[in-house]
Amino acid sequence: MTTEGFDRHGHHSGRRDDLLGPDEFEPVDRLGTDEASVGLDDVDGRPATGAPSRGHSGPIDHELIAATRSGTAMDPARHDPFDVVAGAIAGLTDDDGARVLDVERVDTVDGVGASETGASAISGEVAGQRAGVEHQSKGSDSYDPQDQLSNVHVAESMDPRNEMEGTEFVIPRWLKGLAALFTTIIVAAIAFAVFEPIQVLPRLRLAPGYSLDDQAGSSFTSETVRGSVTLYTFASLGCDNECEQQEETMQVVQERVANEIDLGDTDFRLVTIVLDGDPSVQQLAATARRVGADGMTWTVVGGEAGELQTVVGSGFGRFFEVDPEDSSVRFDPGFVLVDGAGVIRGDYRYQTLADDADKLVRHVGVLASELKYANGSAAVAYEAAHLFLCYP
Amino acid sequence: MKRLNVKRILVAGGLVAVLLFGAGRLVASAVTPHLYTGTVLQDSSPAPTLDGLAFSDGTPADLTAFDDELVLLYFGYTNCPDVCPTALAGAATAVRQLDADERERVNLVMITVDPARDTQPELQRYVEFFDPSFRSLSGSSEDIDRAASQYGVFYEIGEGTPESGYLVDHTATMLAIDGGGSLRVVWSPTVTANQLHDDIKELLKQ
Repeated sequence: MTTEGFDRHGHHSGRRDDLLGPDEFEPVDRLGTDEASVGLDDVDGRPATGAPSRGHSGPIDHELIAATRSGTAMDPARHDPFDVVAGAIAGLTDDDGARVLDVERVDTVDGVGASETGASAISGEVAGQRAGVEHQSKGSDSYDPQDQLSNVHVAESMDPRNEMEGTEFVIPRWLKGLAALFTTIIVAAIAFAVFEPIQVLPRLRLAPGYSLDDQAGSSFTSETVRGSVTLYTFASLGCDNECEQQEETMQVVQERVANEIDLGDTDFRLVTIVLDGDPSVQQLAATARRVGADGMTWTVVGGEAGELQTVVGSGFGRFFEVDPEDSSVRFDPGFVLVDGAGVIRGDYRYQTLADDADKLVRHVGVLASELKYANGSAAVAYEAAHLFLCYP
Repeated sequence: MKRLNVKRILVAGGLVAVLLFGAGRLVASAVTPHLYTGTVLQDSSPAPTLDGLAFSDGTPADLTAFDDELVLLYFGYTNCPDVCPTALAGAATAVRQLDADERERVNLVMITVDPARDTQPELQRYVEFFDPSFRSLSGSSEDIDRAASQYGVFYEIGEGTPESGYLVDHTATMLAIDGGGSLRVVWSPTVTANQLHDDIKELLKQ
């Protein structure tokens, strides 16, 4: 190694040709407090990377560095020149008293010149001295005339901001797990609403309370069918062809529900309300025979005109009109499905392409499932289904 | 060795966690609604009116006067041997468990199904026995019939004893009309005071 470029005080001229050649020196990224490595720009313009090359293999001389920091001179013949310089640099303080090349305060470094004997001289000169450092920030130049160590610059790569370049932001694993959990919940909620794994019938409104008379002349009230799933329909005494279709539907539904749907302990009842005011027991019985109502599962009921208006008109919301001349009754045919709590779950007014019987049987099945499964923890899922599917 | 900025990661992670927690609570509350003991109706149309009925002071019954308040409606009568006292006592207990602000917004109204024997003063004294805030409504049989039917309540005169007189068979459900004037919840006679309290508290939040 050569002593060229260093004066008797060990100061370097700062000329680039006095620096070590590329094959003798390898750029270093940053200064570590223990390693005392120095951040550098590459003298040939290569980016500063890699570990320091001391021209020899071996560990950092921590003893030298510690001694240099404390201002204790050590025999340079026993120490690697690079370590000497590095130790000196690590031990230096700037004009403000802060340690030189502290990564938080230093801007850029171009390079460090060093040589064996030069390092020895520097070690002797620098120990105990306050030395400034020539700071060169990117795009600007500032030179501290107090600098004793020429051409010692902090590598541009030492700027903490530069350390972040190319560094990927690592998302902690727990955060990924949390995000996955909430994503799953949201997706599940959307899938629940879209695919409807749980079907429910909406709770539309309360069915009306009433007290009417049945085909046997007994009182038949809304409390008689409380606890049962009840399908209501409407008819008139003189209704023939117009009522035939819905009466057939009632018959089919009665048979299919008995065979296909498991309502458990809940009964399935059918009720036909005769819209003619004040029908006799015989008239109700005749209607029952016509439609096939057995009086047990299927009952025909009637009452006073005023009560019918309240129950059917206001309660079930069905239009009907009695012609005062011939007492014929005009009405809107249809069905009303009521659950055991007296809540209307289906109001079927208009004929659709779907067969009425199929639709009614399917809906009774949905109701049956809800009655069977909407208990305990599953009740939450059914309430969620009501929330997502039924609210306007 | 490159070091990550731990401080930034922690701050960013904390912000994301707070956002996800808030979103999660929102989703959780949506998918896990309060499980009402009563049956929740999904009809947002106005509750049936109580035309023709009046309070003990003569004020006509008008549900729109209870805007933003909860109305608990019950059909009963003063000579009711057990069902009515049980229901009203339970309602009184549930209401007393509410805090003062919540109690202000709850109005229990009993409509008599025995207008022939229940005079207005007697009816009001009866309901006030359970709670001073309770009120009563009465009217003609026709008006009571219509109101009862529209609220799904059946009633008819039944047999009784010479001591008690006739009894009135009636549906003993309790109904809640929410602050928007819609019939919202129907409770069966088996509802307990605590269950009623929890449902009322939830209704008051809406």
